[in-house]
Amino acid sequence: MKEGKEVELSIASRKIDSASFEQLVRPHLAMAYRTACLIIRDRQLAQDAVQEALVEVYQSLERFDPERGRSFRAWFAKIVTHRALNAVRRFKPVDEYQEWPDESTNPLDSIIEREEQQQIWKAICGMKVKHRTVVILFYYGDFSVAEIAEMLGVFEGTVKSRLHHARKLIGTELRKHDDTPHLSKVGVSTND
Amino acid sequence: MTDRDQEISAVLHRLAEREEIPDFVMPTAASAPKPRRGKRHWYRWSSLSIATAGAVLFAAGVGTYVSPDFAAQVRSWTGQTAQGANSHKENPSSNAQSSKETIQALFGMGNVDRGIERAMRGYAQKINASVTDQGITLEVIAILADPTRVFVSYQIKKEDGSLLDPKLIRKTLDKVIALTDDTNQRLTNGHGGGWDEKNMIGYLQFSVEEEQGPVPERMKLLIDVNKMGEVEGNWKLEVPFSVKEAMAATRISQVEKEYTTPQGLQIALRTVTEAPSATVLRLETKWDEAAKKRLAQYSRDMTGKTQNHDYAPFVPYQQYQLEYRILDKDGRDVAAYQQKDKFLEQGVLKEGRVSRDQYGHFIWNTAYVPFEGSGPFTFVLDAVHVAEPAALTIDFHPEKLSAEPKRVEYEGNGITVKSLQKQQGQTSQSTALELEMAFRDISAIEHVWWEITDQSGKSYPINGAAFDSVGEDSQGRKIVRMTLNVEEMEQIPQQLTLSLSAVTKRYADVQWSVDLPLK
Repeated sequence: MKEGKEVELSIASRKIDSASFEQLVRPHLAMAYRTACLIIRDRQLAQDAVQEALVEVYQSLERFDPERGRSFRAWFAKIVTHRALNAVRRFKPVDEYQEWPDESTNPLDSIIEREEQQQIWKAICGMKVKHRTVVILFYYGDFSVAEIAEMLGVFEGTVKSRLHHARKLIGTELRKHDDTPHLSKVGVSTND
Repeated sequence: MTDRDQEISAVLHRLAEREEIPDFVMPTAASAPKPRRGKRHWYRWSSLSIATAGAVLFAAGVGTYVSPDFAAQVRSWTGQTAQGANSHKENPSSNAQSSKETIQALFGMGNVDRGIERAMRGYAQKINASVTDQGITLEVIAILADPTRVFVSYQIKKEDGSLLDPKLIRKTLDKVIALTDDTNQRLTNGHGGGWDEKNMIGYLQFSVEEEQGPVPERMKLLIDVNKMGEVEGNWKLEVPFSVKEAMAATRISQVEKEYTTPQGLQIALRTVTEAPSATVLRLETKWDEAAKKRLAQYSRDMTGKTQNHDYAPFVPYQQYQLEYRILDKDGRDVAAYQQKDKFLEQGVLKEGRVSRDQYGHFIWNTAYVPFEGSGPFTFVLDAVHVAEPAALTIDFHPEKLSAEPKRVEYEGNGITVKSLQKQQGQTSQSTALELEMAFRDISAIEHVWWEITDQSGKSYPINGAAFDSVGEDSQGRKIVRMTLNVEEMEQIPQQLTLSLSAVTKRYADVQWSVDLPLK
């Protein structure tokens, strides 16, 4: 079996086989699926998006050019992201935000902290998909502003401005939560 | 990274990493068609495109319509058994009460959608099944169930009767919250929910899909939670309930009206389901044989015009959208899926679309809040939006644009190339091509269908687009400003050619309305 870098190089020479393809994409599948889950907030659609992306990647390997300085991870994430965005466009956006898990075993991870994290997730879910996508790619995918700009086909300044706007929305949501602890609020959750 | 940045990152990692990775099928040379070779196109994808079909906003109607059939009453304890794992008790209500206060106590009026509000008056089942462990009681207060959805309210209490945050039930992964039939077969893949902090009531909601089989008359709610906040314990409830009366009150009317648009799109309105909490319209759409021949040609024309070779072959078949309204007897919209500057939904609870094949055959199950206003109600088709190939070419000299923007007319639509300017990023350079378009019958242009080449034939990647709808011109055409993000253009060429391979067009030459057999 070839090593990852060697596989990437073999892509450039278009000599990849099926086994090498799996070796190439397998390390990135978790990131891809979870990114799609966060963007779409629907497991089945996320699975479909990644499956479609795998076919597209396989069919389009000739377009991946490591010489352009782009990593396979970023290229794969770009295709998955666009498949996920297509799914969001095709289906009605979920107005609800996802059920908040509590798998923490750390006693220092207090309820207050988790409440705050829940508000952050609520704010992210409440954003327009263009802002949410940038937040997910930046904070979860650990992609750079330049990489995200390239993935989404927007200017770097646009990515920065979306990140700035997203941070503001999160700040507003947290302040709202802090300032009005006794007001009636209706939240929603889903794992549909 | 600031503390806030780290927190955002932690939130997303924590949520994402709970997702188990499903099995994926690795494509093989045998299973995946080979990529087309030949002319290389540089179109790219972006989320930024003009109102794509399916990009919708939800605008709920207001008001209440109560059918006489849905008589105002709240059922008392239904006599069904609830089984708790520990100190489980049943607390049947003495008498049925139909007061608004009682309903509010069960579900928290004003915090649920209008369909639930309407249905709860006749079909709320007061449950009061509870289980206590570690001094914490989980109580299922009421269930509202009909063939379209099941809605549950619950509370969490301490020993002194004070109420705890209903979200505690949701704060553990290791739990079961499920809806099953009598044989414990799960009826839904998941659930939604919510909470009302003022009344400290939590909600669970399950969508029942017709595609998952016939809806049983009896269902069970299963809750099995082993942690409430920091407190470990065992809270297990199994609550059987009946959907029989709501099913009896649910009317499925066969409509079976069909229409074929001049474009060859066959639309059949199959059934209308009137359930207590929602009205569901089931439509089936597919292309007729003549249209398929035309679309096959479109497919050939459009395939290969984007970087995504898988994209084009089925786009002409699949990329269409209906624009319609549902009117009451006075001609007022009670529900709609319309295009203004973007597609807007009115009164839609949920849109489900099931694909029957790759050639644009879909089943649409759209659930609406029960229509307000007075019937008879009428479904009116206003337009269809379909993707079609285009053949537009614009030659221009970038340096002359500031003095004289390049204007062309294309089948009644006006397109102006206004400017081409370099944009400086930290690590990449892009060039912004500003366009202004006056759309007569075009409703959307995906940026992937644009191509820009210089005088030597070099093609530059167009890596996205932004757009803004800014009103209408004197001819009533919709004005849209679009910026295409062009890459790899280190020097501005002397001459450029901008071409467009496909558009989405709106056709309003449809004439179809159907009286809905609603009570």
